[in-house]
Amino acid sequence: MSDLLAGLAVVSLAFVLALAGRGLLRLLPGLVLPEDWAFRAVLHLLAGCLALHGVMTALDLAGVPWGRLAIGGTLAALAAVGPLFTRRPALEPPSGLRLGWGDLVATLALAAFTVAVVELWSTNPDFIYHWGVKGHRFYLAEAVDYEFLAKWWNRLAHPDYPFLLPELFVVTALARGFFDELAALLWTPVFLLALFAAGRFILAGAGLSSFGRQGTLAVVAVALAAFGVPHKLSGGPDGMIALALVVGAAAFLVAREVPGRALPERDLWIALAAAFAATSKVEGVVLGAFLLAGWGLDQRLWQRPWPWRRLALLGLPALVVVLPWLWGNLRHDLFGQPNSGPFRLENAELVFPAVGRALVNDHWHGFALLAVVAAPFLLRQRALRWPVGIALLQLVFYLYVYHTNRAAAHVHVASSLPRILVHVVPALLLAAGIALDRWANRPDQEADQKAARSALPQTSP
Amino acid sequence: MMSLSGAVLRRNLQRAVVLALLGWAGYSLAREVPRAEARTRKLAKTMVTPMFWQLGSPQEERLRYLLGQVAGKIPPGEEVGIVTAENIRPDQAFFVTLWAAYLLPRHHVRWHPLEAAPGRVRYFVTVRTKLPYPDYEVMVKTRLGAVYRRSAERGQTP
Repeated sequence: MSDLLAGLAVVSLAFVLALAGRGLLRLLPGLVLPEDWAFRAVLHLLAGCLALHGVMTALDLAGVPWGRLAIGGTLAALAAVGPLFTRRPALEPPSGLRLGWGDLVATLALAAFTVAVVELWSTNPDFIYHWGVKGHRFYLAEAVDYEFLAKWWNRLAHPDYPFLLPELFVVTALARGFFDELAALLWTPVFLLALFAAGRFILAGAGLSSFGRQGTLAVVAVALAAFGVPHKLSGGPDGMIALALVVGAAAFLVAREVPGRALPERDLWIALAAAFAATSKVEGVVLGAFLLAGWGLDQRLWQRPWPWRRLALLGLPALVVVLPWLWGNLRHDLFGQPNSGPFRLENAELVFPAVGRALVNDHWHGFALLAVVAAPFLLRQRALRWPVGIALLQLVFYLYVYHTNRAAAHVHVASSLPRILVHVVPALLLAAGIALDRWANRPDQEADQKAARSALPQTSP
Repeated sequence: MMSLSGAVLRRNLQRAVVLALLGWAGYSLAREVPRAEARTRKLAKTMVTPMFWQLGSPQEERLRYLLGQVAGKIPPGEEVGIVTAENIRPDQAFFVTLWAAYLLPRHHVRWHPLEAAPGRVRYFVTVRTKLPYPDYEVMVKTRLGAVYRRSAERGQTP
């Protein structure tokens, strides 16, 4: 019964967040959201999470304790304000949801992962070491507990990390009336479901064959669940970063009606993905910057006259989440890992063999290796270049961080890389599925030439 | 005819690759779920180092029980020192401390070296050892360890 209530609480909260996000997005004039019902819900959820983070940050800065009334009231107002105060007609009605065998397989994989979380307490150790304890402390303090974060002995518990996940734990605790560990852990399946929905949208939007769509989604979902169960993905923010990259990748991968045309409506996808990544984990701040820079270059946003409105929509959400986080960390002196320093080339001796071992980590069953090895080949396809390039840049950033370790860099790689590979593997596998389907269904030049020849009028001498 | 069969071949190859990957992923998942279950069962019966503790494991429950006895008796915001037995390596003591910090969210928990002076710390949790300081008294004691408070604190705690 308790498990059921925990699940109900998280599903209800995700629904409330999506409603608040929907209300917020309706305030943006001239916004066109995609027809795909599931992807639209993903965008609403991301916007709702960012709204929640904004509300909690504002309350914290104003010294108002985080209570049910303050947070719930603001979210309810957000959900209502869009439909109430915008005169423009409702958004395009979403399309119906047609499910295929790949969707069924993905659902079963997610169910297996969720059962492992509920029945086996398959919990990310970092839930205990920092994410969960931060959530619990913030819930008790009804604010960000900077006193706890600033203690020198908590330096190794990453006090400088962004707060969205602990904040989600706080609202879950507020909804349940106590810090419910299981409910907190169930946010990971919610974000994996969102990732599968976004992946599904990309595969359909990229124009894949029916088999390509269903097969790729099924492979990504099952491979991710097969990793998530033994590697204990639940309770950490790594699935959120993976979701952000997939949502951002959609802007690049979904076919454009007019090739090369400016796509302001997709600015929102990138903006939400970048801000969501930036508020999930410190690695997400870097990913957010890569997404924004990649999209800016793709859309030639640097060209004059500068498209101020587009630049504002793109950059503001990320700035709104990053600036208060930076300010809080600087004010309380939370930056600075005791085990890292300047770049050390000599670390390469330890780092690269450890990276090799991480890629063939048992828990990945070869899928991380497949994704990373395939990535340079995927760069050859123009349409895949940006998302794959961004994923590779993210991996290069991790390599850089491992080269700043003062000691035992290989231990750091072994303890973190298999897990943080999850940030990029789903997006890379989706890109590989797209490439494979395009190769399998490419127009056959020889057949076309033959057909053209046979269509010509026959002239006999 | 050759080129048409080339297109069919590519599509069949795509199907074979995708189905093979799906089969492998499915087999891996089907193997991992019972493995995870077996690991959880094993964890319930055997003693493992603190690095491998997890929610619901007996070691975690013992620590939760010990700290649960006194959590309400230690004033919120108080610093609690964790003292571990000499045979618990520092890296493992680190994980014990993190677990204790998780289980005492109202307090400030830090590892305290056995040989160091108590300083201003008024509450200590010991794991598989005794507290070497004379002016502390036991609040609660279990098989895993004990919680101590400075003797003068008796009248001041709620």
